[in-house]
Amino acid sequence: MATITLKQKSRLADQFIAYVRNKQGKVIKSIELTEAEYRALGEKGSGAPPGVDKDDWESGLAFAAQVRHYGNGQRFLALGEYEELADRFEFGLPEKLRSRHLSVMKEKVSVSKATGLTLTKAAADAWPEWSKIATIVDGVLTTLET
Amino acid sequence: MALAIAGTPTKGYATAASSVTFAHTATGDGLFVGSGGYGDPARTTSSVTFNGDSLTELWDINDTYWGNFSNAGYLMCAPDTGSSYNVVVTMSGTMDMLMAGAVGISGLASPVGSAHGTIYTDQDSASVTVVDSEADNLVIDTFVTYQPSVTVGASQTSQNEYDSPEDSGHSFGISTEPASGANTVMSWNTADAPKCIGATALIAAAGGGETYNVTDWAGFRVGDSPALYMPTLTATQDGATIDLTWTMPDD
Repeated sequence: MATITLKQKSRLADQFIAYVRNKQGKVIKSIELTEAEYRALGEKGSGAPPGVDKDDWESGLAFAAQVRHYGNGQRFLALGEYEELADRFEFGLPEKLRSRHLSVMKEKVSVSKATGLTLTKAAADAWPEWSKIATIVDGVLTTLET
Repeated sequence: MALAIAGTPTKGYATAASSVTFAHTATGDGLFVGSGGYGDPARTTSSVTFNGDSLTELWDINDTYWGNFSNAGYLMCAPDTGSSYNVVVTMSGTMDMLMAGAVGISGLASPVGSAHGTIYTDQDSASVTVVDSEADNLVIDTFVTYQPSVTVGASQTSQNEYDSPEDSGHSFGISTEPASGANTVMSWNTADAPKCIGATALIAAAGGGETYNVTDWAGFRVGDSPALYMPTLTATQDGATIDLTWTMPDD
């Protein structure tokens, strides 16, 4: 087992990114678009995003997405990080898992300014084993593995 | 008119994404867009558009068995052709992984409501049986799983496939199979893992309805019968001369 003190993160406004990949599927170029530029891609007659070669776009080597953002290019919460949303908390999970985060509705979480977050037993028991999280008590996350 | 794949299928994906956009050139009279991914249970597909026009939802599975999969199929009749246009798949929230693909179809019935049969889905299987398929249908499916790769069933053709992009562990595919009758089985080979599949039979446009310009005819009257018989017509279609002939009964 390992223990990690929880750290709160805040989601920033979504980013809009055009990715250009080589023929092996590796990203070789990322171009940040404005929201207006991204939304324009869905309008009639629109073509490639600004900065993306027409041939790359039409051949399928490039595509664009609206993506989540925690700052400095961070797309996912790391293990030990959490985010408070309107109706739930999201906890980061280790990489290479089915999901990169675990959502827990607020009614299953007790919040103490003194000690931090604690999940109810019912919520903890309901966690899938693959999450690798054993408990979250008084702001400390304990994993099932070392 | 037989159903067939038209043009080249295209695809796009992104991690931590609520929307993905990619180009597609439509050449047929139908466009199918499938998507699959993994996120929160509450995630559904908000919209799928091609060149700004909305596709019609066939299925949008908000998986409750494994808790987090999405799997959707959308269809459009008479997509804009002649150029490359953008496919936009938008979810109700952020997915850890969002994958989508577009497949052009020729010979499709119209409108969308008459272009497909019953929708079949399964939230815990790599296989689904399209019970009401008929000969001349083209069955199409989308499949998503938590496995590093997938292989399409032996009798199907994989039209679009992602095997664990970004090393995410999630894979996705769209496949087709010409139906020979009822009970067309659509399946993917994958290890036991969370998975979700959706499928339906696409229906061909009815035959006939072609336009000919009649330029000559040959007919005769039999005895005193007032009926006029026309065993042959000569016509043109798209500039080519065609003889339209039918057999008269021997009486």
